Amino acid sequence: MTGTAPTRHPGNADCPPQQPPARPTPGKATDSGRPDIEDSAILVVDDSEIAREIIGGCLSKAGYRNIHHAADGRQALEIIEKRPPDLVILDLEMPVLDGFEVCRRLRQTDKTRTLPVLIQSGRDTPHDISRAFEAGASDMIVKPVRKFELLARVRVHIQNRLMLTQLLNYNLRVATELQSARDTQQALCPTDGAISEISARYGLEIEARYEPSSELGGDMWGLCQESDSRLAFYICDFSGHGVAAALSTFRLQTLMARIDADTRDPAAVLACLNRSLYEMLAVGEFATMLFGRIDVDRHTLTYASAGAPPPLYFAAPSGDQIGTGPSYCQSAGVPLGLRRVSDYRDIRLPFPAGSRIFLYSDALIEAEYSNGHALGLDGLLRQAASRPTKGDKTFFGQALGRFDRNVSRPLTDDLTAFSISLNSEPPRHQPPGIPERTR
Amino acid sequence: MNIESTRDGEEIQFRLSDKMTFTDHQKFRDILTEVSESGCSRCVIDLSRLDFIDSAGLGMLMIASDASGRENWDLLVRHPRGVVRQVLELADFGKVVRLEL
Repeated sequence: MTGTAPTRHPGNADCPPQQPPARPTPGKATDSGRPDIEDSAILVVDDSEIAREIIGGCLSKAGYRNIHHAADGRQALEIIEKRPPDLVILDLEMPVLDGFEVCRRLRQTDKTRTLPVLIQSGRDTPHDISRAFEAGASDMIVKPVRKFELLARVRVHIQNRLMLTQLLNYNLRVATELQSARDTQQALCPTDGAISEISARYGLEIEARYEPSSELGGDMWGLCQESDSRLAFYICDFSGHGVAAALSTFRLQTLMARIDADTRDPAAVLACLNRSLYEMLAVGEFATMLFGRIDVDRHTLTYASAGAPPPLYFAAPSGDQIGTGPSYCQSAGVPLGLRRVSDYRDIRLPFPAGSRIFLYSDALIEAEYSNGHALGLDGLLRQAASRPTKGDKTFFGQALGRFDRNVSRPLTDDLTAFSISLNSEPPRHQPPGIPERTR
Repeated sequence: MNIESTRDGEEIQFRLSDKMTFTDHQKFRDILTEVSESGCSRCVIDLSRLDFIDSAGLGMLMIASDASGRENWDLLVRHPRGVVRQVLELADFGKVVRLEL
C-alpha cells in the first residue's frame, strides 16, 4: 500500500473494471468523449493506513475505481509527478513532508497548479484552516471524515475538474485549428518565390507584406499573370475578422479562380464578384476590394474599386521634370456584397517606367500609433510626399518600418500592403514552365 | 459607442458618439429593436458626434437599412464628419442608404 508506484485499493486490486450491479452514485457524465466520473484518478494521502483504508473503502463503495494511495508527502509528489490524478485527498500532518508543503509545491508547478486538493485533517482551528487555504488547498473537511460529506465534495471537485479539462482541451483544439486556418490563408497569398518570379517576368518591382491579426483575418491579396504583358492584382478586405471573415476569403479565392480575367475589364470583375458575394454573405457582411491590371507594353494601369482604401500613385518623372509627387487615386465604390447589383467603373492611369502604385488595407492608416493617434490618409500622404519622388524605391520599406515602430503587436486588424513599380529595364522573357496564372 | 435617443412623434432619433466598432454589435441591435417596438415610421441616425467607424460599423448601418426595408420604416443617416464621413464616402454609402451630409 505504500509503494512508490500507484496501487489500487485492495478491494479493487484484482478486478478494477468490475462494477457493483447497483452503484449508489448517480448517473454518469454523458457528454461525448467525457470519461465516467468514477474512472477519475483519486490519490489518498495519509500516514495512517487505517485512515487510507477508510477513505479508500468509502470511495470504492461509491463506485470510484481508480484510487491510489500514498503514506507521506514525498511519496504523494512522486506519484503525482509521474501521473497527475484528478483529485488529491490530503492529510496535513505527515512525516517526511507535510500537507501544507505538498500543497505549496503543487501550486508552484504548472502541471498541477489547478489540481483540486481536498484537505482532510483533525486540525480545525481558524488558523489551521486559513493556513491550508493559503498554501493552496481547494477545500477542506474535518476528521473524523463523514462519508456523505466526503463523497459530496469529491464529486463536486471531480466534476469541476472534468469540465475544466474538457474546456482546456477544447480551447487547445480550437487554437490548433485556427492556426492551421491561418497557415492556409497565408498560403493563398503570393509567396516570396512567386513574387520574385513575377517581378522578373514583367520587369516590375513588387514589395509586399501580409500580416494577419492575432485572430483569423479577413484580408487577402493576389497577383494573376494574365499574359506576357498583363499582370492583374487585387486587394480585398472582408468586414469584421475572425472565422466568418476568414471563410469569406476562402470563398473569394474560389470565385477568383472562376473569373476569366483575361477577357474582362476590372469593373466587370468586381460587378461579377459582387453578385456572387451578395448571395453568399449575410446581411451586414461585405468586402472592400480593388482589382487592377498593369499592361507593361502599353504602360497603363487600369483598375476598379469597391470602396478599398485609395491607393497611392507615384507618377513617373517625365523628361527632365521631376514627377508630380504622390497622390491618392479615386477608389470610392459600393463594397462587394451590399447590394444585389452594383456598378463599378474602370479608371486608367499612365504607368510608364518609374511609376509606382501602393496599395494597403485600412489597418495601415487606422491602427493606433504609440502617440494615441492613427496615421490617417493625411499622415500617409505626408509620409509619401516627404520622400524624394524621383524613383522613391524605398517608400514601401519606410512606410512599413514606421508602422512597425509605432504600432504594438498583436495587431487587432490584418495588415496587407504591397507596392508595384515598373523598372526602367526591359522585362525578362518568360522562361518556359511558368504557369499562366499564379496567385 | 454612446447612444442618446430622442423621440418626436413619428420620428425616433439616435445620436451616436465616440467610436462605432465590432464590439458595439449588441448595442446597435438594441437600437433596431427599439425602433421596431416604438412603431415609429422614421428613424434618424445622427453621426455628427461619432469619431470613428470601422467596417463592422458600416455593416451595422447596412443591417439597419435592411431592417428598415423589411419593417417598413424610413432610415436616414445624418451628418457624418471627419474620418467617419471619409469612410462613408469611400464606400459610396449614399447609394446604399439615404445619407444627409
